[in-house]
Amino acid sequence: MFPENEQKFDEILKKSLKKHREPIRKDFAAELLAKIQLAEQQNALRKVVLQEKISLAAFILLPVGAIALMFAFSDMVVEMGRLLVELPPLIGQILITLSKQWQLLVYYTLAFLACLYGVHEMLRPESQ
Amino acid sequence: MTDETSQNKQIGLIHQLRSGDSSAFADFIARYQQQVFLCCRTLGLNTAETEDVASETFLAAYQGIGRYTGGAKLSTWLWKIAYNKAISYIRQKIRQQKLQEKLQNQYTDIQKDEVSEPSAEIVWDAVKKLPQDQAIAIVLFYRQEKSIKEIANIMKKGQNTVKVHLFRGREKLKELLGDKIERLY
Repeated sequence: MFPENEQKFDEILKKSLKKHREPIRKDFAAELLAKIQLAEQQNALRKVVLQEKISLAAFILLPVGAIALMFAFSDMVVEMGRLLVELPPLIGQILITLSKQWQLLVYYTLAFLACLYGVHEMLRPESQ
Repeated sequence: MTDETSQNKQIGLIHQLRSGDSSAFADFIARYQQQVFLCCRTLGLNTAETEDVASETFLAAYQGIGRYTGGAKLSTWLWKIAYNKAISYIRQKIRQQKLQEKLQNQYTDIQKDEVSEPSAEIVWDAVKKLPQDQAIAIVLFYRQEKSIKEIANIMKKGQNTVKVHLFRGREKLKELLGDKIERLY
């Protein structure tokens, strides 16, 4: 074949193949969309069911687990309870002590604010 | 200008598809179903098999549109999915039924109720007689006007392999068509 014939052959191939149409049922797209919608609905339903199962399991398992932990580490639970009871008066005492040292508090606050301002200035973009 | 417009349209379509717009997906099917069917047919699937694989392809595209990065054209991305689905379908079929020979013979079973012109059918019939890799390379190159790089991406093969498939396919087509083509044009 001569080069011009080669080119002609390529053009014929291109034209003929472009003219070819595959037969497709008219309702193919509609059926496919319906199938996809059904699959989506099923997925959504599956998700809801899974969430329900998880929440139900959590509703049952969490209290059971908490009770089991309380039995397993009863000493620790008692200790924590004692700490919780003792904590409010302790906080009160700390606040009273700190209020007496208000000057120190002011110095620390000012120093902290100065540091914060320094960091802000350092990290601020130059264009601003 | 038209390229830019079509690109914008495609980006818009992708956005709509990602948002789960069913009418956009209907448009997407209408626009690409011919190409997906063609891919399956070129690989030798019959009408029912083609419909199954095309459905699977569009379903996979619907579920995977979020992962589409835009690195390749949307049509190339879809061709890749369709090609992979069709090839895995064929492999599964061969493995299960050991009917490779029958698969090749099924090319002759394809219905003739198509709307294509007779001249196009002569060429198409010849393409269907080519081995799968050569046929798909020929269709992608001549009909879809894909580049060698895009074909290599779709077929997961090297660019040189694609060139060889194209060359051999073209030579075989010359043999098969002979002087029929001269008479037609």
